[in-house]
Amino acid sequence: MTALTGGCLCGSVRYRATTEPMNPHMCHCTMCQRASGAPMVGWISFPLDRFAFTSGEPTYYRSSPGIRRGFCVNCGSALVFHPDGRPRIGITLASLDHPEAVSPKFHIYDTTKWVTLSDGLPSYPAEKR
Amino acid sequence: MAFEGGCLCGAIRYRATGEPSVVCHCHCTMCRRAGGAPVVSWATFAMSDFTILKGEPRRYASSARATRQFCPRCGAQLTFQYNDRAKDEIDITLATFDAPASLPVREHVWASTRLPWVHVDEGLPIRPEPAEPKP
Repeated sequence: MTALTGGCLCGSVRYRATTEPMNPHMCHCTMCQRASGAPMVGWISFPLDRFAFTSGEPTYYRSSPGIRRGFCVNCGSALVFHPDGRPRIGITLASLDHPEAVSPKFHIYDTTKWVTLSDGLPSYPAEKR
Repeated sequence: MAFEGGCLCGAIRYRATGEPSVVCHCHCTMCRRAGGAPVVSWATFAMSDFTILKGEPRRYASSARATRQFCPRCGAQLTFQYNDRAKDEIDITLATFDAPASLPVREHVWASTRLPWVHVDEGLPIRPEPAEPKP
């Protein structure tokens, strides 16, 4: 397949993945909301061995024990969600160069949702198990 | 009314008073990249009604016409200003308010670049797009 590329607003941090994105979904948790300033954040993930930063590196913030979020220190774009030790890296769907091509399949943490959705997707109160 | 908010890590806190002139969902490509989110929501307050209570956001000139601010510790996107109106008004990310639902969204802006799979608050009006270039 062709590679998927993306990066931050200012272009300092760029990445490339060489496999299909896994688990595209939207999160409405309050931490994602605060981290992005947005009502919901779309996430995809890639196996670490099929993903690389091709320019720059995110700056990391430990948002809770065992979890770090990565962003561009120059422009602030939210880029990464990564629990320690997980073999996949979570990437913000909206940082892809072509986010229109990757449709989320479900919503999580809908108990803290404050927008009205009409996309017909399944929605879960917490993590999807 | 007073509306307080801040970034994810708490390093930056702010307060806005009065009523916002605009509360919108923005679908522009720059907001989407900045937030890492499919849509970013904003409330516009008079600059005279906005105060940073704690911390110092980092500024980023996202275009020749606009400046965005975010928390340098956790990356949270906080504000947007057109440079030529920066003394008068400031847009604050709705999702960083402590109670975003207390500021109901009224409209969609830059909807021509809405992601095709984003179906949020579809009953709200869509603001016609000006001829001026996007922010």
